[in-house]
Amino acid sequence: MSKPPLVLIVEDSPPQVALAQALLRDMGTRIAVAETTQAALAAVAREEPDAILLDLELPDGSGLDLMRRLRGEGVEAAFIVVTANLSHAMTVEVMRDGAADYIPKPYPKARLTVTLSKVLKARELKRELTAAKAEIAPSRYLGFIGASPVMRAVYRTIESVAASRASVFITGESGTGKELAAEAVHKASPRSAGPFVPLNCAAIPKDLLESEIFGHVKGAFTGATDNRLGAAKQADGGTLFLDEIGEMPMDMQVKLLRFIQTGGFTPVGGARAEKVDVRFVAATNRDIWAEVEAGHFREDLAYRLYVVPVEMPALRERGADVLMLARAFLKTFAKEEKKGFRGIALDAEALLASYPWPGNVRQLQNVLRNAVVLHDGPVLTREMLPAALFRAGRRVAAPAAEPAPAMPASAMPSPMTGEQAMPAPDPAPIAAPARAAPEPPTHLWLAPDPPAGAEPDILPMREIERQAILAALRRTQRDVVRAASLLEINPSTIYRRLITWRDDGTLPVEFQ
Amino acid sequence: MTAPVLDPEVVAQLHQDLSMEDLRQICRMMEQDAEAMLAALTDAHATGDAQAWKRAAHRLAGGASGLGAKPLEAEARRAMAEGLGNAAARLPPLAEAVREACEALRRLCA
Repeated sequence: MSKPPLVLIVEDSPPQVALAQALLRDMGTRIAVAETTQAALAAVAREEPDAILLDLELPDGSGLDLMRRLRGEGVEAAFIVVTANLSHAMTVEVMRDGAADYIPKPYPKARLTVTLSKVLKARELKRELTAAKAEIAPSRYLGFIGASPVMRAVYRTIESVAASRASVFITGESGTGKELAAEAVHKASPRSAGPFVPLNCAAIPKDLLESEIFGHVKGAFTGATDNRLGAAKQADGGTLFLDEIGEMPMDMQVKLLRFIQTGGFTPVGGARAEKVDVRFVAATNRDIWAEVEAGHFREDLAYRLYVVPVEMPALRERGADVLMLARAFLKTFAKEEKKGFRGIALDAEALLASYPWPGNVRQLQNVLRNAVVLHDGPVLTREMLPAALFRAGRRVAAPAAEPAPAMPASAMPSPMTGEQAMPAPDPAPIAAPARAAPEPPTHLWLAPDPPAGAEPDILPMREIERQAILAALRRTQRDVVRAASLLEINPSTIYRRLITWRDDGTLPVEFQ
Repeated sequence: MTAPVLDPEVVAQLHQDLSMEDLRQICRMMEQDAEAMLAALTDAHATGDAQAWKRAAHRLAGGASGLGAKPLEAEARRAMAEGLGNAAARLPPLAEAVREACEALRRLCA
């Protein structure tokens, strides 16, 4: 059973407080009292009142300013201004600034209880309406958060295609949730009890890619000391997700095409073909048909994979989803970091809603994570957000077909001050196509193997940790969450190390 | 014609809305608070603390308005408006208004 509504009486006169308490006794509400604006702020943060009876003149400030501030912070309680001598102009002002009603002193019991019942009922109806709207337009679907028309179209496509065995080809800018979409296809499919095996084609050196997909037998190559199952075999009965398929070398594309056509493959060094039952989902942030045109991707393979296309919308196209996601991230991260955040201030929401988010959901996630790690409080304020967001509206252009950086330098949390004050003189550069970049090392931080017989240099553990974190950030294009995932550590550890290295001057320029 | 110490309409409403026990408790609180605020105003005058003067006058006016003690409310609002500059002139009528209001509240609850 839900608790009775809570009424906060903000009033400095004890007899007036006692009078209001006595008049409200029969209503069955809970009552809290604050005699000053500071006490009221603390009480609102602590108790989340449903209604606030507010005296306009308080010992330490104006009740009107208090109401404006709480409204600005997103407090949804119904304000009832209780005061003597309220002029017509003042009445207009308090109503315009968010009061639900006002009661002149002295007031009879009926005036107080009827007004309070009315605003509490209106608040309850608003809650019910919000819940009903959420039910009509589902805001969560198999790991996704969002109820925008473009996302609902994605949910419908996934739902329609899930039962089929047809290959799904997911496109969209970096950070839009392509892997989440692939997982959703799997979860919604009859194969959901089977394995979902993701493989990032860009993250695996080309020499190892065949072995990663098809496995190898013992002795197939130097270092192959045992038989090893590849992703294809692991995904038998389930779904194989080939992420960044556009990065796959041409010779590997031929082998993949044959696998898709026949359902069979031969492990590296093996003599016998194996058959598996796999559903293929592929993804890329490139225009795959432009890649075909440029001769970088096989047309026949593209047709095999591009059976049901799913276009993941950029976050800037998702309207109110930005705030829905931001609130969800805030809740999750606050819990993880044991912080007291419960909501986002209206001006901070306005900023989040107006930013174009070139790094999409992943960037939003990083910004929220950063704010939660560096700050605390009941409400996430505008000042807790990276300064880059303030400037971005006029300077960050939406990326086109080229992949966007997961987190542009201008929106990276500033480890320098903890206040996200890092200047960003230029718009975030667009990442060069991965094809032109050198292959990433197999391991994150180890130098190339030493000459035979030589021992590798022994480094202090803190230096190994530093190299590992920086390498992971490079690998993930500064995506702190993914880097933390690769390193199997908490993202807040990375944020804290970045602050330390910035402070002691050891942070490489590329991360500043 | 001078206004009654307690507005009869407000008094009637209080009798209608509150139990005698609640009314007595609230009147007692008002008496105590009015005397405490009069002492605070006297201290504020002695120390030249304009903020304390305004705070005490406001609290006195707010409490008085809720119980229909209109002459006391009017004196307190005048003290708020004129500030510490005219405190010496305001304190005697304020003290008299507090005394009259307290007496009336005691009679109300007798």
